[in-house]
Amino acid sequence: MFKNSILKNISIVLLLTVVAISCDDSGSDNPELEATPIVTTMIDGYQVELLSDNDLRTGYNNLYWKITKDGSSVDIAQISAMPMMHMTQMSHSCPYTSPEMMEEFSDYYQSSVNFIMPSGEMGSWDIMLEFTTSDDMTVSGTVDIEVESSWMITSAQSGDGNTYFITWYAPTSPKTGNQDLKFMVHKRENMMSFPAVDDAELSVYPFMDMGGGEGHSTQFETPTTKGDGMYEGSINYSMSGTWTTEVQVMTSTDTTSAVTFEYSVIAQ
Amino acid sequence: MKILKLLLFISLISSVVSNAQDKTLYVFDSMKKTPLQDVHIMDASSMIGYTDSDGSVSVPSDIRDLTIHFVGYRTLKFSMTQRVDTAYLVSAVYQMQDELVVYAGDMGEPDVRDYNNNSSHLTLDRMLNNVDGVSMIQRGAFAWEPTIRGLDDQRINLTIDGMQVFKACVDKMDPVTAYVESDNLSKLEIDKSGTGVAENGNGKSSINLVTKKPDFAPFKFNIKSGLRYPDYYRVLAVNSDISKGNHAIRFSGSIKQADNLVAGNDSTINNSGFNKVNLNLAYRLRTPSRNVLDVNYIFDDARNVGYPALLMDATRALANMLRVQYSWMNENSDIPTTSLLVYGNVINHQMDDYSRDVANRPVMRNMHMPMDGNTNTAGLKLSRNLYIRNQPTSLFVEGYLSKAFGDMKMESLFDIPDMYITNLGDIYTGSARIGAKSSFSLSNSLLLKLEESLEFNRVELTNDGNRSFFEGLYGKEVNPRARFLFSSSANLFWFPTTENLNFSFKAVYSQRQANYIELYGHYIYNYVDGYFYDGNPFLNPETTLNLEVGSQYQIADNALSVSVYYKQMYQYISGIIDGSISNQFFQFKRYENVGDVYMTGFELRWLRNWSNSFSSDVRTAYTYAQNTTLNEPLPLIPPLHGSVSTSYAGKGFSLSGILEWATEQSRIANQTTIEDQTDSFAVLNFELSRKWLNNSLRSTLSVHNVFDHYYNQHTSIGNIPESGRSFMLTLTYDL
Ligand SMILES: [Cu+2]
Ligand SMILES: [Cu+2]
Repeated sequence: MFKNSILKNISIVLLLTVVAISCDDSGSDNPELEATPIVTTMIDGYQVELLSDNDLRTGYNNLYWKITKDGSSVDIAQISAMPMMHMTQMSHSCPYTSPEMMEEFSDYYQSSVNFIMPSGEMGSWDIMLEFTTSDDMTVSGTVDIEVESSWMITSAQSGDGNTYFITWYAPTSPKTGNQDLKFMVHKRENMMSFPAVDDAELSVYPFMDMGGGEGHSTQFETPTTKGDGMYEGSINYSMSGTWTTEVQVMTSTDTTSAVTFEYSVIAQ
Repeated sequence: MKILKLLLFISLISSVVSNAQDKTLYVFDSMKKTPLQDVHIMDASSMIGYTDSDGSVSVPSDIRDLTIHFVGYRTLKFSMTQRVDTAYLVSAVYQMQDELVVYAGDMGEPDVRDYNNNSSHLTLDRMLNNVDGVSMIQRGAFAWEPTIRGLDDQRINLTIDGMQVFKACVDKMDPVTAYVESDNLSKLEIDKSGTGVAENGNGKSSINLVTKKPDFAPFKFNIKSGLRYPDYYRVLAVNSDISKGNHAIRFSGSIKQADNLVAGNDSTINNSGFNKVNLNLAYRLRTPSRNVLDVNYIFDDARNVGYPALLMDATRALANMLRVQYSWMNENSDIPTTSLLVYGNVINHQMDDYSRDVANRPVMRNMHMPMDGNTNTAGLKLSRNLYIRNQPTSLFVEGYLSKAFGDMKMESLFDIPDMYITNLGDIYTGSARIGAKSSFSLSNSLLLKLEESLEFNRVELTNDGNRSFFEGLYGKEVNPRARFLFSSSANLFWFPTTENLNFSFKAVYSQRQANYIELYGHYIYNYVDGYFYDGNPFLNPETTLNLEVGSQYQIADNALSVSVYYKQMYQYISGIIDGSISNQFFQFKRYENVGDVYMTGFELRWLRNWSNSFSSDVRTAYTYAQNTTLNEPLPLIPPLHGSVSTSYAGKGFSLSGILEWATEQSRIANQTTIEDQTDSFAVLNFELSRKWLNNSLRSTLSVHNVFDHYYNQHTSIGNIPESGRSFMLTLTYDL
């Protein structure tokens, strides 16, 4: 299948990039990750650097953590990073994963967050970071961050009053032609717990409104579950312009209302 | 004709005065220069004799005008001028190509293969429409698209002086025939059966527009002006030939404009006017060894052309074409031994709907959608005529590369960002082929002509977004479509008697690679069925088998031609509804090899000279086309139709009346296309020509649709009617 070959090409490119980066890095022991710096802060004498693929925004974000002390890397036994939004009445978290040491960049720990709201007048975000060094020192503190608004996450209510968060995982910059279409689905159990939903079926409908509600769809493959809340399919945009995609989540017990992503597709 | 001219020339330069003895006539094959034995020599009423083994025959000195008949050769009318004369007969192999030849000038003896067009006011479109077996698809008053026996576009060949030209408009607004004006047309070579496989590279029906080449007259100048009421179609054209020594130049230019078309019952058709400028510059060099170099440049610029049948109008359609041809000539013959043609052309097309009410149209409502398109083509063609084992043979080597691009911007009337689509994403079509034609005299009365062509054709889509789209649509990697294509034809002529009667039996096998639109076109709106079409990069070649029987009978003042054909198409390519993303506003189709199709039909033509001044011409054609897979008729097939014209030529004037008629077409497609029935019609036209000032000025008054009928042809898209009663006066002045 050609998708595999595309994936293969992508992985070859990535590998080459990694090799190139690795080779470039002659001064230090471990390779440096090239990413967008988000914030650098000091916690108990440890320097904590947070990087991401882009400025943090609602929806899915990769977080890359680098912890150093006096310029040298620190051996870490355990680490957690919990995002929290502090609003006037209450605080809440969002779907996230715990940091894990990156294979290619052993100085870095990678986690992910699906921010469900942007920073602003409604409240502010920080991440509670806690780590234990190999010599059993436990350090904790908060890292303040700014989250911008994006179109890539939305919530949907089910008839039973449950709230589901649907994240537009890919494509992050949609373009004409065929590409992977990926969603993540999380359920809000409470303010602190947003487990991934793996047993749902999605109903998806892309549409281009060309004015006055008249428009057309395009060819697509409905995403299906791949585990860890991820749903994968494909979408084939026939033209550039503004598109919408309607998504509905159906589990064995719940069916949500249909929610709509609106975004623009660029010509390739 | 050319032979006649040559002989006339020979006779003029001869200064020998004849005496009262018998004269000797030699008859030779024009190509081989070998004597022909048993050739029949006749005068107006009786047989004079047969040629001997040295090709000679004795002719009484009081007989001047001869008719020379010989099986397998074209009949020649010949005038004796001196004591010893030589007549060259042109082999039927060259003349009996079953090509209809439409001459734009005057011509000689009546011939059912020839169509006269000395009506200077006729546009090329009308001229073509008059040929039996050819019908024009109309999208408005301008640039009609020719169909031959119900097939159009990618299923026929349209060339200009042998050049491949690709249209730049995805809506087919710019058929190749738009680039040659009738003033600049020397002749049309029409091969309806498609036997010209070696020359054309496939067995499709063909029209080749042959432009006028510079004349070696010292100076010729011609100006033409015409005005038509009530659409105020106006034309001004200038043609001039200048030569000095071995150099000759021809200039031809015209300006045409028209307001909106007025159909019958005074109904004005909005958005049907046009403006067009056409320039043609030709240079010819004759080398001392009689070889010929031709350089030709065509410029055609059409602006603000209304297409009432379409959603939009052409803002600008621009064509630039350059061709260079060198011909190594054979002695004493007009047929070159070798010729090399190199050419390039650039076609640009812009269309939009800014002058349309986009809010109230049936599709693509509430937006303007300017579209641009262009094609760039370069090619070469090498032809060689020779004898292999004494049989005439022609070889062809041809190649071209063409790039096509088309896009569409969509500007919503609502507050929505612009949308954009690439319809043709830089598609490259490359072709390389060899072709051969050979003729065999099987007996005195049987001639066999065999033609083959082997082509390598490759079509590649290079736009990443479009390629990715097709990969998604079909779930497969999209690679360039490369195919070997084989075509072949056999043509058997039978001359059962010495009379000028012949029968022909033809079989043509042809393979056609899907064209760049069928393979890789994206989101192209089809006005005939209202669907948006996507290509299919995995189409297999379409295969056609055509069988045909024809007969031509010709005596001095009576000529009859009949052909009957049966054509079967396999893996026929057509649009199939893609229901997955269609809705009430947007309906999509994809091209598929849908299955089998057959077509059958006939053409009939009868020419009669009733007297020296009174003649008639009757033409009829019919096509029956059925998609056997879907069990429905093919779309846009003309019904039984024809014309009857009678002409009276007096001293210095001529008057003709033409009745055009068509029966109703009720065989319509309703699955592949939503067609409607078309009523029968008959319209009457008149034309009066008169010469003035020592024949240097000619006026032509033509009245079209005398009874002001409101009617449309079945091949008119959107049922756009033909013009109502119109009067046109054309003046032509020759210096
Ligand atoms: Cu919040
Ligand atoms: Cu156009």
